[in-house]
Amino acid sequence: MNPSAELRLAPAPAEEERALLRRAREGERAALDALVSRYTDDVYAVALRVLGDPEAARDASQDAFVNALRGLRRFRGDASFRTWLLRIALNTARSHGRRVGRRREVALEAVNGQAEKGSDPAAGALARIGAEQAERAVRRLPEKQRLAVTLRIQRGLSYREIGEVTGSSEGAARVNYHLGIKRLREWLA
Amino acid sequence: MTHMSCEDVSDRLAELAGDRAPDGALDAHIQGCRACAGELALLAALRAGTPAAPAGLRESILARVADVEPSRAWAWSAPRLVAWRAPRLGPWWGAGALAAAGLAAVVIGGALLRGEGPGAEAAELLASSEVELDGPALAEWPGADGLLAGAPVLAELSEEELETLLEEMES
Repeated sequence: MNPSAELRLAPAPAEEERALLRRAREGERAALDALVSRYTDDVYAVALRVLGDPEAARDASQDAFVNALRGLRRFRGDASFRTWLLRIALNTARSHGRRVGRRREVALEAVNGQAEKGSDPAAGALARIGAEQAERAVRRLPEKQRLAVTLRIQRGLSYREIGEVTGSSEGAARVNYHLGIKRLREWLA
Repeated sequence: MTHMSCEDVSDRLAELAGDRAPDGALDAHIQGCRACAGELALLAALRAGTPAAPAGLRESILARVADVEPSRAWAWSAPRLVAWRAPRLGPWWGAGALAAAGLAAVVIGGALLRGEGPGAEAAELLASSEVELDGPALAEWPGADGLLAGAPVLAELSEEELETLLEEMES
């Protein structure tokens, strides 16, 4: 858990990143290091949301960067490098999941404070939600909503960028986000 | 001060990270809306609970990629960007439907200009009366996010309705 997570919500300046990519394509180690450092957290977040297991997510993250590097010269630049890389991370994690069988569930405790049917979501109850409780609840969401909420709130992507990563429309990304938040509020109220 | 809907607030809160500058309209809405105040607390908890990459992951990735040469001929293709698409019609159905619609528009338009047909009376009524539009101004309708003007407000939909909307958008 990262209680003081520093979110990099603003995208890297486009020109700076283009220069970095150019140098990485030419094999410059420092440029490669910079790209890995910049996006490790993003890639791991996607892998963890797909696989649910930190060890599997760690393996998938490494493979995702290898896959991306091998395909770097094919990156056309019509999407941002970040969303391109995260799309690779998503596909790589899903491949991992298929290879090892069903998604390995981290042992989940019951979400504390789950509302009984008919109760009204109260601001007071939500205000007392801890970070761990919220994180456990996110893991329960279906994959599309899990990813939309994670990428929006924890990684700072726009709906358009989420759509580029997940292969859906911007509108569908927005709907998945709202559906995820709605479910979380119901579970945690 | 611009009045904000719960959905506007939800989208705005999602944009903000941690500490935020005072925003009169946003703060006024949150102070008066328990649901949105609760969502603000939920988002803060989610952000605080952001999983951190395990220690040493960056180094292990760098070690793995150290020996990988970017390949010219690797089969991986860049992901295809999927924009929101209008429903696809088959080539002949699509062309036929468009042609029929165009012809109908010409016929109906001509009839209206001559003051004929069922639409003519309606056209006269509209021209002679002051019609007040009830609802948000056009400028407030969702624009570039793939939802058409007139689309439902997401915050007001149930889970089942949201899932149905998703199925329609993704089909």
